[in-house]
Amino acid sequence: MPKRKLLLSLLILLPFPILIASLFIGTYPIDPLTVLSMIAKRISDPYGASPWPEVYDTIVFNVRLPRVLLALVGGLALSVSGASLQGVFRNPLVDSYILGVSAGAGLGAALGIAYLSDVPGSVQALSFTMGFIAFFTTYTVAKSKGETPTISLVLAGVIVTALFSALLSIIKFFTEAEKLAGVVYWMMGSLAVTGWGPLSQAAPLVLLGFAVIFLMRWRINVLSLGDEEAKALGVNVERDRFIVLLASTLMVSAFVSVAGIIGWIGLVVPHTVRMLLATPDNRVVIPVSASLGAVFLMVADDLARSVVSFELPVGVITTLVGAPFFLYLLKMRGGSAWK
Amino acid sequence: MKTSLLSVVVIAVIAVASVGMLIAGGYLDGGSAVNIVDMSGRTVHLNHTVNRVVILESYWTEIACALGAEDKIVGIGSYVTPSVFVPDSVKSKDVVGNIFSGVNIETVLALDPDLVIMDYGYGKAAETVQALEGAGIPVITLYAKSFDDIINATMIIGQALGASESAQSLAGYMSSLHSQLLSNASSIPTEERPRVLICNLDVWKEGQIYAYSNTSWGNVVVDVGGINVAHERFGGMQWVKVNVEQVLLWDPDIIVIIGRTQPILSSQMDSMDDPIWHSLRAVKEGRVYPVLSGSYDRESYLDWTPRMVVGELQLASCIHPAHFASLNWTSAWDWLISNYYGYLQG
Amino acid sequence: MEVVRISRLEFSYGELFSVRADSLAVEEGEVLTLLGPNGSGKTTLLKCINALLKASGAISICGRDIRSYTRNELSRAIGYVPQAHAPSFPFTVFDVVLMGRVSYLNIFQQPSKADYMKAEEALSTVGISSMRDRVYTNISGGERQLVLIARAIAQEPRLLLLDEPTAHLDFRNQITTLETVKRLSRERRIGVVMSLHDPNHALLYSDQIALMKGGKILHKGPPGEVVNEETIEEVYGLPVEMIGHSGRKFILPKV
Repeated sequence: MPKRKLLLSLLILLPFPILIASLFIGTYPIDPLTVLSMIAKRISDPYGASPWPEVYDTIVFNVRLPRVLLALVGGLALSVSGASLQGVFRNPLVDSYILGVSAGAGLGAALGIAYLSDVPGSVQALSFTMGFIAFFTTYTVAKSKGETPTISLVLAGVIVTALFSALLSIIKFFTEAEKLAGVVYWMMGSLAVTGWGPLSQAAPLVLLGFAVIFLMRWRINVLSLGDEEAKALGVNVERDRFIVLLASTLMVSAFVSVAGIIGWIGLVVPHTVRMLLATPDNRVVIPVSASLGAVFLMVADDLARSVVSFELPVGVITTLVGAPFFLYLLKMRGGSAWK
Repeated sequence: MKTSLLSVVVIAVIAVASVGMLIAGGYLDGGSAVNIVDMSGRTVHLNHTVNRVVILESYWTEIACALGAEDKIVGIGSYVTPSVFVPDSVKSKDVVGNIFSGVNIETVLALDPDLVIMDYGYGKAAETVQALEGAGIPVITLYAKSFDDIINATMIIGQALGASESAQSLAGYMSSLHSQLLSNASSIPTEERPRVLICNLDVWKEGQIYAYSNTSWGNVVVDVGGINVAHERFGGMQWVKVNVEQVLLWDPDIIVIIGRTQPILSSQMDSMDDPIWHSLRAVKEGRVYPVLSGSYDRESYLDWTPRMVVGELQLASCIHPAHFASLNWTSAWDWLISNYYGYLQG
Repeated sequence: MEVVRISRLEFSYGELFSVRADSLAVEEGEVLTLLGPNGSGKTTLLKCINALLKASGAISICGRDIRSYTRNELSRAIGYVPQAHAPSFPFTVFDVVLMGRVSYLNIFQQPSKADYMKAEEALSTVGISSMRDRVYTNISGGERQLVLIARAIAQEPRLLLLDEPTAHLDFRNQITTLETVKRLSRERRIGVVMSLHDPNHALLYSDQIALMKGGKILHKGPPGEVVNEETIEEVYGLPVEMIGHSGRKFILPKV
């Protein structure tokens, strides 16, 4: 099927033109042709003197590029975790945050903001750690007699999310107004970052998690048959599922710890991919979700920085675009990606 | 020399005029039963001299203390306790809640206050006022967005707590310094006015920058002879979230960083230690000024209290050090301490 | 060679219900049917043989203690066709069959050319190559049963376990399925253990029958010895009569 191969290649390569186009967008007026020649110059002659003002270099390569790459990495992380968790849980309503990671990360960030604001990097470190603690709590609560049925995991995730949210409310209640605003803004999610720092913190962990899930993409198909069948086919269900959950948590926590909570990508993108390609086969769904997720978040962030002259929280845009689009898909297709 | 002579004359004229206006405005009633028009335009009737008052916000508490009425305070809001400008005797009073999470009416009733003073217009203010008045407790609502509001609030608090004379002289002093500053700054020609970004860098999530545009801090920059870069682009908006690219586009002459505590200021300064920030003119020329606001540090002046006038002088000397060389903001603070904030010593 | 031997197996769900099997063995190319009414313990026994449930007693698969097998090894020895399969994703038939190869791959491996060929071969062995690109969730119950058998064949097992392979199938599909099972067992020398609840099917397609009731095996042996009016009545609690026709025996209910 050469037509299908062509579609797949286009989808996989789509992030690259979007990445370049995203470098054109910003408050500082630099025309796209200049940006293109700057990129060409960077690639062909990286150490030669630059004919453009110094501030152009700063803006394109140290302000826009790390931000666009963070969007790419984040979109990939959220949509791949969504796709893999939906497979493992055999449930279409599962998203990246089902295991309580967002509630944990939010609590961690709030703790950092309220009590450790003097320690640099404490917010990121705490939110990453608490994301993991939330996941392990969920997993431990769900485990009984050496098994962790998916239904128990979903329920435990709901419980842990509720608990961590309640703890977050307590911190919000006792913290002063200014820090409260800090917590609220953190939770909204934003990709406004300065320089390469946040990207260099998040990207290696996200890519590690992605590598694991990418390699396990076919095995996730088998896991999606259900515990008993997968086991009968020779899968060590407990171990393999744990590795998928761990890799997914790694990606989501790493990204959320630098960007805050950005919703809907993990739900919308994998579904769109399944409908678009008319297959649930994770061997294509996972890589194409990675690519479309990256595109979605890059475009959403382009909107966040260009629709109005100030910064909009990108999480609000992903929800405003994602939720109605999802509704449209459901109405049009009657959930046919699942049946 | 000519400037300071002029200043003295201006101060004197304004002081006399203010007192005159205040008398005409009915603030100096003197009788024990008074009607006070508060800042939300409500007329509050007080039958007798207030002896027991509950105040929800730290700035109004601070003004009451500066006017010598700290003994009348029987209850406070939860955001009062962190203020270092409120005496410990007041901080140890019962905490009744705050405007965001609401006030425990029973706690207030148990304190049997003659009056409650609080902000209006946000949080649970409306419900709280309704509940308190329903329980028969008079409420004065205040809200400050400008220097004049602080003067107004000082007068209202003074009148309500039987400290009108003290309030008048404090307001007179503040007004005169403020007017002197304005008239002085107005002589600065446009081409000598520096472009200023006054902002706050989120220390919790890297990359978020909140520019003060049409806010009182943002407007002080204009009052003291600067150009607020955020006004150019965002005019009427108050706090604007921008990214570093916008700051590079502005490339301001001066950056004023606002924060409530020294650690928050220094972590903001630390987050500017990045090649991107280093390419900015203000950073290259060493014209980045960390300035405290609020009431967490004894060196904070920008707040809704008499200290505001000192804060204005402080910003003036950051923005136009040469022009305002003769204005000594520390001596203004010393004067306030010796005349109104005596309780802070010792 | 014996592909499975069970001795003194016991499994209990709490105190309410337990399943026991003192001695059972199946040779290569032989079909053993577990026959009995609903709730007699057939499915439980099959799951014990596949180590999906941990029973006490001894099970040996191809002469080796089942406890010495890893999950992977066991799935290369035992193909399992589950009952009442509820698919959640619309995989193609070929993708489903290909999943039978998972026990030959490590956790990070993708199926290779060789695995694709094994899956194709399993499809053609079962005779459903023409269905390879159809969507598994859109085919009939009988076709699905054949796909699951093909998937089990792709596991290249020595032993095939089928849990009520004829349930929910129409008359023709029941026979097609059972014919396929019997043929595979003969052609590939696979030992088969399946559960059925229709005595006539058991009579037609079994080499051995174990009659089960209340978690116990009451009778076992070749069909001609085990199935008669008394034993069927004992197990099903229903008066029946046995008739012969063209050399074969059939059980009819007395109504």
